[in-house]
Amino acid sequence: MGELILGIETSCDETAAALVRGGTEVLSSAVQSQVDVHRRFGGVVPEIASRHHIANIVPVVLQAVDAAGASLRDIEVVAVTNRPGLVGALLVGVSLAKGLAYALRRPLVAVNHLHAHVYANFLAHPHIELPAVCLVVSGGHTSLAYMPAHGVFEVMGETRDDAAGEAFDKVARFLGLGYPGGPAIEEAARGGAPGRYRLPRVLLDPQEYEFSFSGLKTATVNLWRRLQSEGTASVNDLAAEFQAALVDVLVEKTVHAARHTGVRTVLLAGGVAANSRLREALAERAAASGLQLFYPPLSLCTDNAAMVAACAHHLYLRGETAGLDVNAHPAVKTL
Amino acid sequence: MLVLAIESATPVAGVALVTESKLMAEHYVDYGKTHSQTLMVMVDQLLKGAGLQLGDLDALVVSAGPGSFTGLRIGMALGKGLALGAGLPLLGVSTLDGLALQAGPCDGPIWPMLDAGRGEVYTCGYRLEEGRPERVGEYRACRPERLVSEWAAEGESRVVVLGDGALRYRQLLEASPGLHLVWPPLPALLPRASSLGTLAVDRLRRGERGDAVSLVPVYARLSEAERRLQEEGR
Ligand SMILES: [Zn+2]
Repeated sequence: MGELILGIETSCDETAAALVRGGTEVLSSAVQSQVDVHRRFGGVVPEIASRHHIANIVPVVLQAVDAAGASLRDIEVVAVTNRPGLVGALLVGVSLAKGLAYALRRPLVAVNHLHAHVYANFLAHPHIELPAVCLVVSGGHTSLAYMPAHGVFEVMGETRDDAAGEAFDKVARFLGLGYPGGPAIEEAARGGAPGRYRLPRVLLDPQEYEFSFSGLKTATVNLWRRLQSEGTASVNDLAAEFQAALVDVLVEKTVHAARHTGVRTVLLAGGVAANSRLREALAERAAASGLQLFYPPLSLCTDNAAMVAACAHHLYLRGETAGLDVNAHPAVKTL
Repeated sequence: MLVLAIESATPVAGVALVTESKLMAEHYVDYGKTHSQTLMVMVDQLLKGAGLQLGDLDALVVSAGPGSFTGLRIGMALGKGLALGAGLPLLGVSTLDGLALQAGPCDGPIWPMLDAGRGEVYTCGYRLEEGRPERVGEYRACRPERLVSEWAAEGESRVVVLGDGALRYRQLLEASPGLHLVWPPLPALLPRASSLGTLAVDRLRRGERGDAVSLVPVYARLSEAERRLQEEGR
């Protein structure tokens, strides 16, 4: 059976709650997305996100409880994302979870959002073999980590500047393709072809696992300006080349990290893991290198609370519960 | 009727247990720790000290704003979690209303002010009616200079002021010619959870019922991004 965990997630612009049993069985997963709210600002506005979280959090929790056919009293553990993310947004979830756990007399578990993203994989594939190399790519993060055992993450490399999703957003905004940038660029790229234009693959030191995407962003902007002045610009072809360049770097570094650590398993996670070119390219390279690649279903790639509960399961088993003074930590960048 | 009050609209963190006739317990800190670190610990200590459990309460009350956006949401989210888990009503009471109560019996209008940053205060005027402060006008954010000129225009020469906004702009307020300021004593100058509790007990007795689902803070100010968008639209 396993324990029933309520997961709560408010680190960015999704208010989410989920009930998960034993770390793998998702009984319900409610997500209230604010993507339409932030669209007119071209990105997530922290204060507006927090305002929506405080308005939506209880309805979302109740929705998750109802959808699971459970009652609040059935919850055995309350889990919440407390790092990293927007501090005001995190604090809504952390404070609510704290009060709820206290009132229900249940343990509270504080979860790292990036670890939670990786655990979306275990919800879909419970029997993944560890150790693994994890690539977490989202609007806020680009990290490669070595995962020797459950709940243990050793950072191998991160982005020095823009996160992958951030680069998608910025380039999409510049090209007038809309928000959020990931799906917008993927859509445009489908109507074009990579290779018609040429953008750099910024690998930095090929032996290291750090990323940098601001150079690619600048190169894209400069190329577009030049193409437009020449009057030959195809936004779809440029989107396709930008996407390919970014994906190539992610794939290259990830496969290299897997070889270097000698793992057989690669876990892809985060909002950008929804990108189909990334999934396909990484699957192809992984297969060619004898690696097993896992990625979550689309519904679990973006922020949700089922992954928070799944991650909390292992912390709970190890007795890693949080005190009444647990705080939110916005700037924990590492896995 | 027993109410647990949580105050978090300013750097003061406060919790109190209040009945119709008794301030049973109160815990007040203003030493710079974040509300996220202090409030829940204080609630736990207060209840344990009184030998009570959440189930013994009739309701919870939190500061409803205006005030620090993040501070308000920490207190309110905590209140929502407690109310949801314990099956209790949750009321929101304005910290400005609570501060006005702290002015006590006095001559002249009461103007509690909370520091709102950007050279402004969150404020509202109150007048005593049968010994109780009654709110005059809406909660708003405005520059203290503007309040001073409004008071002058209305011929107010004696005004009771309190709150961290009044303290921040003390020099400016006191430099206004022809204006006599009345400052309540130190223990009444900043928001007390017991004031929220007292007002909540009144409201509950009048039949008001709050709930954790729909309560949101009164911000009295747009977010910076919305304000900019509005200005661009003009
Ligand atoms: Zn995320």
